[in-house]
Amino acid sequence: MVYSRSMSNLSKEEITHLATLARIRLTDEEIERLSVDMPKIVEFVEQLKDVPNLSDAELKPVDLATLRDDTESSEKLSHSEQQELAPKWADNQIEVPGVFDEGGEA
Amino acid sequence: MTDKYNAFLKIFDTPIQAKKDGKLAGMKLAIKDNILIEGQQATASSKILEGFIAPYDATVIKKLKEAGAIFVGKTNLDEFAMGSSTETSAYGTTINPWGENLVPGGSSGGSAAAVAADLCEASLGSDTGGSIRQPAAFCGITGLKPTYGTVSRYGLIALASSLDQIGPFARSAEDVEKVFSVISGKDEHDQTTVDYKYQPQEIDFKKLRVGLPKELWQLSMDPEITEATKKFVDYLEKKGATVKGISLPSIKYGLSAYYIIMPAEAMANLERFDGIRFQSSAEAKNLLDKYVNTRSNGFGTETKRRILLGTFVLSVGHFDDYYQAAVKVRQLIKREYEKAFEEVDVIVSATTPTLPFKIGEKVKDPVAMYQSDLLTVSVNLADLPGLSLPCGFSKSNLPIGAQIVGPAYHENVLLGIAKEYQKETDYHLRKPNE
Repeated sequence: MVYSRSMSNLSKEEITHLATLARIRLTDEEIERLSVDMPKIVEFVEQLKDVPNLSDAELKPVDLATLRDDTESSEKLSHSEQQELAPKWADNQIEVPGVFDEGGEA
Repeated sequence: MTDKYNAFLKIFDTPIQAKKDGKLAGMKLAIKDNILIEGQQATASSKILEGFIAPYDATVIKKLKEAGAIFVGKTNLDEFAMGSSTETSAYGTTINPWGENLVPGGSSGGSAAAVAADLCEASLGSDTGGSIRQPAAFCGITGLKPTYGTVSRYGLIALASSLDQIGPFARSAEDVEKVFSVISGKDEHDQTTVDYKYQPQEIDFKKLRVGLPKELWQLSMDPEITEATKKFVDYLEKKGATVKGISLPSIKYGLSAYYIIMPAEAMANLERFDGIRFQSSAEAKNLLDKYVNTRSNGFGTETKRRILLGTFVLSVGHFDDYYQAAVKVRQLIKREYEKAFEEVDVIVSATTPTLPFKIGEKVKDPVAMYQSDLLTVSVNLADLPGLSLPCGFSKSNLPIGAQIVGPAYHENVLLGIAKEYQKETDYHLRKPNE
């Protein structure tokens, strides 16, 4: 998928493709609405192209990330707590539909 | 408790209190429904988390329980904290106690309205681009967005992990301070937290240097807000503070940078909602359909909009032009604030460019809605603390908030100023319908 240079020209096809990447299926009404909203939003954020000397600005973070010591956490969810959270559970494993089941794509 | 404002998504039949003694013994708090209390719902005001029961306490909740606080319920918010009006909640909007057709602000609108309506003494919200400060201003109460890293995000349903912070609301800065001193500090579960211990500070106003950024003061905003905020600055000057104009040139790009960085991080954070782990799970014949059906049915319009925006700005061919550019602008903004704080101790502006607006007025125009965050987002981008406090009322009796921003880890200066101001004014004590 080759996108329009800017989202100001974003087609409905491109919006649908973005949704596919995000694992979302849009209704026709949603596509219609987003094809109006999204270009306006991106036109707004494209102001960043006007920032002077942006190419000179350094990217490195101001603060270094602090790494956590490699110690075991003092809190864990018990097996029964995990079982309560998953919608389906079988043989001590969380059950999900098969990747290669009917109509599926990996 | 009668909640005619839809401030609460859940009022606990029996308020939760783990201990009877402690620093906050008996203080009634409401908790935004994106912060986990073990055994209670945590919906983030989304259908996709309907039925989800939190398996553990957020660190802030553990600390509040230890301090003797009482939790009265979970409050409404914009879905996944994406919004500035609480109108994107899947469970209906919250009404501002100051006007039945007005928004309370967002995304922490429920928490702000609950305090304003005296349904609790204090509440917790979260602030990613203004979601504590803006509703505090709209509801006529005090709200603090702490320095990034001073309050643990463990147990906060993530929106944008480099911007989110949990913070308190209350009528008074004194109560905000009490709650903040309990919830702040390093946490082993959140490696972005720092070794921080809150220490209150008396303010010597004669030594205080106040900066007014021209880029914020020259913005088009409601004239009554400008007037009330100027009166707050006059108060500081009369107390002996030195006031000067400063410049933060890149701050005008803050909103654009924010609406690139935040959706990018939000898109990544919301990938976890796949129908496998969080209770809500759509019927599907295969795994891919499970993901797609759950997410398509479970997310609301604004959430989908921001996910798509985040997907776009991180995609091949656009990453450099949008996301990388926004990160660079963020660094520029941060450095300009640091430079400004070499000359001034605090920076003051209005919190919002408008008075509380009508329900439905902006929800169909996302760009107009995003403008509500104009004065607040750069504080999150720069990881700084910001406090909103009531500084006046409009002729139509709507509250107005002023924002004080300080250097990192200087919440005590912001709260010190606010406490002194609130000894001499009563804006924070006024109640709707009085």
